[in-house]
Amino acid sequence: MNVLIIGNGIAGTSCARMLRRLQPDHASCRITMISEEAPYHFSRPAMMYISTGQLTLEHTKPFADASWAQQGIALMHGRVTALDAVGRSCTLDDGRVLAADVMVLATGSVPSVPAHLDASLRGVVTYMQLADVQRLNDVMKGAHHAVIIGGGLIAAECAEIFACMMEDRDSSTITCVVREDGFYGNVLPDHESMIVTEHLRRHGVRVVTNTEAVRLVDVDGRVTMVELSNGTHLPADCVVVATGVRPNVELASAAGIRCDEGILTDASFRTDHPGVLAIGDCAQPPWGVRQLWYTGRLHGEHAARIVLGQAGAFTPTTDFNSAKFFDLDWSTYGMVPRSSDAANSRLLIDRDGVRCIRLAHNDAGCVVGIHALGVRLDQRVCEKWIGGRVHVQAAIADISSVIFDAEFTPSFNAVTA
Amino acid sequence: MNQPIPIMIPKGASRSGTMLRPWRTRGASAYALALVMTLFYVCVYWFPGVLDVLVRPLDGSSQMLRGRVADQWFLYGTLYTLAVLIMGVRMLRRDGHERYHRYRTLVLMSVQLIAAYILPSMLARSGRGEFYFSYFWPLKPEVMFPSSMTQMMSSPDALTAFMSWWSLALLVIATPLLTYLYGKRWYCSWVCGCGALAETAGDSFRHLSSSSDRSWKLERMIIYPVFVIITVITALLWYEHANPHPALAEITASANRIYGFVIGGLFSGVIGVGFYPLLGSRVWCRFGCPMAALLGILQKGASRFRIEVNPTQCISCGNCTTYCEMGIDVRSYAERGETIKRASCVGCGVCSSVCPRGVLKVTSRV
Repeated sequence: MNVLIIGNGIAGTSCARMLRRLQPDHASCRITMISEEAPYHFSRPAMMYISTGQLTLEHTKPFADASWAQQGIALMHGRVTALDAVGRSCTLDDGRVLAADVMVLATGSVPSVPAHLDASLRGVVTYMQLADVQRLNDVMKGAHHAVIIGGGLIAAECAEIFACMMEDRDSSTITCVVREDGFYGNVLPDHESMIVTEHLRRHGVRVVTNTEAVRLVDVDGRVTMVELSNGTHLPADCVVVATGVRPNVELASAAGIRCDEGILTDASFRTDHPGVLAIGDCAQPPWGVRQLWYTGRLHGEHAARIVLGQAGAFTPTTDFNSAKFFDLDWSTYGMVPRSSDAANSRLLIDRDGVRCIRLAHNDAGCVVGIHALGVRLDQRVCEKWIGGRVHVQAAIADISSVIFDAEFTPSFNAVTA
Repeated sequence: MNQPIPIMIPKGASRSGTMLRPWRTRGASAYALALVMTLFYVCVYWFPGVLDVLVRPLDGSSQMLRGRVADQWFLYGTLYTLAVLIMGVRMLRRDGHERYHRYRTLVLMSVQLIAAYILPSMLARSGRGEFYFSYFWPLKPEVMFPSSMTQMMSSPDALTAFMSWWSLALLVIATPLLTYLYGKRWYCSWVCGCGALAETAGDSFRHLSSSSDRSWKLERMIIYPVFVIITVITALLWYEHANPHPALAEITASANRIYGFVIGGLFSGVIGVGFYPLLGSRVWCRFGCPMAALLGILQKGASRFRIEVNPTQCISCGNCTTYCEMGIDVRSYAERGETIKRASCVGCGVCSSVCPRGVLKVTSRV
């Protein structure tokens, strides 16, 4: 069998590695993985640490370069210009055509830039692809007024990069323009969102809430200001547009594969073309698009089993995710809806006023989701509580068992809100 | 909401900029620094006369502390202690917002200042030999050699006798017990002077430790033989002590001299510290220290210590592996959700601190 994987992000890589693990015979399962972005897989969530000089690209590669050849996974560094979904082949920018028995599309996401913002101006970047590390670094040089449009995880990462790396930190400003009431307000309930917003402010980041950027003002093609929905103008010599990402469906849709928001698949990641699968950020299975790094890994590993005929439909497991807002950890398990309030969740706030744990529950009082700010949670306990339908009162009584903080960390003393 | 944040790092990621500085990434300045440090060690061990210009100004303080003029060892001890204290303050500013690092660094600084500098000086002043309460066999093998052991134990001076019992008790009782309870970290990253220098002055170079499989193999090929050699030398000395045998005494004495030159001088000093800017801060602890070998065996075989892993939250970023001073590929365990139990881990806790997703927890709780 000949498997062609397009994209070497976490979904594509997990698929390739799992295929080889399940089918160690190189000859009976030939695996080729193509990427335009980077010759070798790197950890995308670590990209910000390359920007802050905490890591180099080498450090962010989970697999040694030599291991790919040992594993019999052929890597190709190039751009796929066209897919033939019926004949199952792809054309590269150098004119080569690669044919396969199974094609796995793992093309990831692309930045979703609103039409009214011209990201092609000098001084304006997005932050998603490896090449953006260099681009951000270039626009940051000599900049004094950084503006980040967006209030999500990429925006938080960029704020930290600016705070660490802007040359003349004392005389420069970092501003986040956030559409919601507070930072990450499209995911976090109001209280948590406010804590994150305050936390960014304490790190010297201006957070302008309830506001959108309506236009980028330029002089001779170079950005100078950001015009806001409230009519004011922010001076800006360095702008990151971090208004979210959307599935990268360009190749698939040009090849006639059925797409909606993402590439439409069944629960086994099969597209409407036989032998063509789509996984990770770019896929839209029946339960919808999930653009999480962790999800990409699960998709990839499961798709490998499907390709080898060893598995059927994928069942999404308990959701989980985590992030960091400067030094403030956030992690979540299960479902903690944005609209969580006193009726469907219990919020425990530490006496320091910052650290908090929220337990979302259903009408019967069973825990359905947990998230925490400034406190590290033990995944095993979270899953036990959620999977075991533990009552929220019992969970609160045993709250110390879920905490995974380092030794000597001040204990979490909850004042229930 | 108006209270200060208890968990704040002033400038964001605590180790930002590390990879951008030539002196921390094997640039020309790193080689220059390594050369200076290496030459200093060579002078201290074998050409002390060269250092006279630095030693003489310390005569006053040496008289005050030890009641005698300074020598190259007093210069060395003074500089060593100053390095631990000054760079310890730097470590506290960088990681001190986390209590584990705050306590650990303060203990290391205190032990170095009191047990490895002031107390030995005072003992010297009182006419006794310089004795270090924080070093014992096999890191400081001579304390268990029959010559010093029998002499000290039978000393009419109660303090001298106590010191030999102290050495014995730490080896026989404290080492296995504390390692069982807390892992080798109780010594390597809370007490030991080599660890104190590595965790303070060496902190800037911790990411230079190689995490390749090859260096792990090399580690096992060197550290255990060193431990075996010093154990054999000690055993032979005691055998010869019980059954006098001039030829054997001569062989053992020269073996001990070679050990002292190669391991005690060349390895622990010249390479172990001099090469900080090239090979990382724990070369000696990782490849050469017989104490680390012994504690490692106990840690692997009879200890509650481990690094727990929060399965599946790992994002493979590589911060843990990069900043492990012992060159453990922490990420490879974290990705698999596998609890980490490695002989070499000194429990410094930095992997857990640099993990941006709360995956790792250094612990010895039941």
